Amino acid sequence: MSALQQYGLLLALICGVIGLVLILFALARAIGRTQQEPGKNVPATAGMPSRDPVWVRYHARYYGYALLFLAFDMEMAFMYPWAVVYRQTGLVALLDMGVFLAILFLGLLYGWSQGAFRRQ
Amino acid sequence: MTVEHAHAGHAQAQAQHGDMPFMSMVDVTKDLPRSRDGLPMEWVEVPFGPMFPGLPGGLLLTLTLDGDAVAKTRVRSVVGGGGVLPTAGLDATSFIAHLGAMDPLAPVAYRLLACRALEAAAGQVPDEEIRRRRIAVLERERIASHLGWLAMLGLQTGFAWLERHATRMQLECLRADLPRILQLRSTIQALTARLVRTPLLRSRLHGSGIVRPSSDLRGPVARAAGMRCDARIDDETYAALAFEMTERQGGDAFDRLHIRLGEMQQSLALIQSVGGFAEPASTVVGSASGAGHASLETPRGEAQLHLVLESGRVVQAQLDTPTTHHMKLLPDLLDQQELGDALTTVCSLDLSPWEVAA
Amino acid sequence: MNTLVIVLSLLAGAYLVAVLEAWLATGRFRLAAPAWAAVALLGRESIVPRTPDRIFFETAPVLLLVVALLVSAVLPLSPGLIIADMTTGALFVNAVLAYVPVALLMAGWGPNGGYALVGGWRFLGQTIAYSMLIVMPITAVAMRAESLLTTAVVTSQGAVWNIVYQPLGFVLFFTAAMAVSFLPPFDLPTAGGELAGGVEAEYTGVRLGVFRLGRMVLVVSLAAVTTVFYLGGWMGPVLPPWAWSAIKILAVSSTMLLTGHYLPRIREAHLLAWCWKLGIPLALLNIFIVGVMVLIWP
Repeated sequence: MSALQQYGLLLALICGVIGLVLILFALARAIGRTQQEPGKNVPATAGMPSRDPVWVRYHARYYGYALLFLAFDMEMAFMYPWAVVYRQTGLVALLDMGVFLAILFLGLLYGWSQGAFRRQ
Repeated sequence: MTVEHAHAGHAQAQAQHGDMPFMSMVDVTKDLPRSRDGLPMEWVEVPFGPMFPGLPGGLLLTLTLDGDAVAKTRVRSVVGGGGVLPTAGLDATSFIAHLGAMDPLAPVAYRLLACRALEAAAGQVPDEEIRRRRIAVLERERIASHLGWLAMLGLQTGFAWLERHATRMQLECLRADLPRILQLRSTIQALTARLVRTPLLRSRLHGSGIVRPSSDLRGPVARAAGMRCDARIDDETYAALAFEMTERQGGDAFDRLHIRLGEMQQSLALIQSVGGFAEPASTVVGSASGAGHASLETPRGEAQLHLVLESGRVVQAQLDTPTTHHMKLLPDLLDQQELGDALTTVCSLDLSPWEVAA
Repeated sequence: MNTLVIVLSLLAGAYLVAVLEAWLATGRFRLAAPAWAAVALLGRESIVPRTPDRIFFETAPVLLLVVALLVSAVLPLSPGLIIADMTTGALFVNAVLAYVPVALLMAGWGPNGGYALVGGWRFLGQTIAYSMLIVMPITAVAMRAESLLTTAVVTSQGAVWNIVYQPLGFVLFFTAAMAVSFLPPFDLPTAGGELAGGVEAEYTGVRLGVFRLGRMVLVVSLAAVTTVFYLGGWMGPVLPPWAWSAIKILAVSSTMLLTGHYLPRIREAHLLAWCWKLGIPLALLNIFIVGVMVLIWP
């Protein structure tokens, strides 16, 4: 199977799943429709109506981690091709990647020392 | 700054920028509340309760969330005030039932408290054996209450096994007669040993909701913070049973867990040395008059009752309960805690919204 | 044909996992429990909150289900029984799993409710914690297989399974897989006692049904990934290959479910701290150890 055919198959799979979900929705609709009643569509809270919208500037307190995560995520893009040819290339590959990872790991240690790894 | 205000500020900032070519982030955010780290963020007010899984039913916590941290706390009970005396007063037997019905989480403790205050007002001293057997009933309720708290802790922290196991044990304990309850001993020991060994539980509770000794602490919360605060140490019936108070120094949720686990075993030992139960259902005061005061260690801490008896009727009653004090701690205690930690802290205080004065 | 067989066996696996979950939750073993629960969900009203981001709200459950199925599309259940044996298989697993946080963030943002919003953002933090522990152990697996083909990964374990060859990687990957499928103790986005359902809180009826189905399939898919990468896939004596795959996948998913039953939920700050301060150094160490071992004893 060529790569194009494989992707075609996966696309068909996605379409099939969406179709399945639509069938489920149709089935649910056939059983009964949602009644429109006042107070029913309020966002879930534990017994008290809450305010909405809650779409706000949200304070994600893990931003220190998030910045370092970017660096590590980029690095992984290099790791996969390297992993595949690793045994052919041998010890040199280990040293090459070792130096690269060591630098990255120093970055991690630096971030750690600067307090990136805590709730801000 | 309130949420509404923050929003008005936001809208205003946008309106000002309608005719400006460049919208500066500094201008847009200048009216927003500042977080602890100095970033301007919008805060959301979210209600937790009165029917939130993992919080005692009837407790309404309104948390203003800055991201997932608590910036402001408002707390109130929506089921409190049940213990208020009707203006016409009550006769002695109905008063006992009335106070017992106030808190469904600790009915025996409040019935016993009412009995003791009535007896003090009427100048009676009940028989030693009755006093001992009443203590046994109170201690049984303490075990049941602590097991209920453990089940709630299990629900709150997503520890499914603990929730189910403690609930089952609590039901067993509530129905148990003397031989059955003494059989619980090995189960409770096993539970204690297991909880101490459970991975993640220590890290989950350790350092959460640290309280320093203060006059607002009662019961296990106070004893976990190193205070010698227990109504039982001054009680001669307890002294005759060789009661020893336990305390810990840390004052966090983990210490409170330890105190409660230890108290369950202690209560079992007390029940064993008493060897019988006597429900505090009624007391004969006749047509006595006078003022009485009683204090008693409920499962949540010391409760006090002052009452005035006029020819066999209670005409005045003043009740002081542990939850009333503990609820005052919450706004400071929860400030800047992560949401999950904050709710664990609330759970670890073991509040009973029912016993709060209106 | 392969596609149909694999999709059906995945759904069957998800059903069995749901039976197990219901068993853990209620203490009674009932084979029909998930079926009745599904019928009940279909019959219930599916309410849309009053001011939703409709596209996000509707897409999230479907996306979760799509992601869960796509993951197992590149995994072999027995020799030849695979939907798409892609040359980028292992990488594809990674790429697809990156959509799990997208789906949950959509489910959190879409309904415009407080609990859901916090749940969604929380899971983004969880993603930052676990994702390196998915990516790095897989790299070590690919180093031994000299290929990203998932079938090649299985055949590379002919002599000794990866769980023995790189146990450190297995532990890290298994933990991270539980975090991806937000199973307890990593159920931060749906936390019952903290967010009353969180990202799931606003979904009712058939939408909740799709969401739960997606999550169950995701659990099974991740168990399948663990099986293929670490437990020798279809390999095993006596029984036919598909049976070994089924046994291993069910064993891994049951272990995932059971573990959470006996543990309290982890705190988000601790999850992030432990993953970065302990997990990533260990994952790098694992790559190094495997690197040396591959050269000496492949």
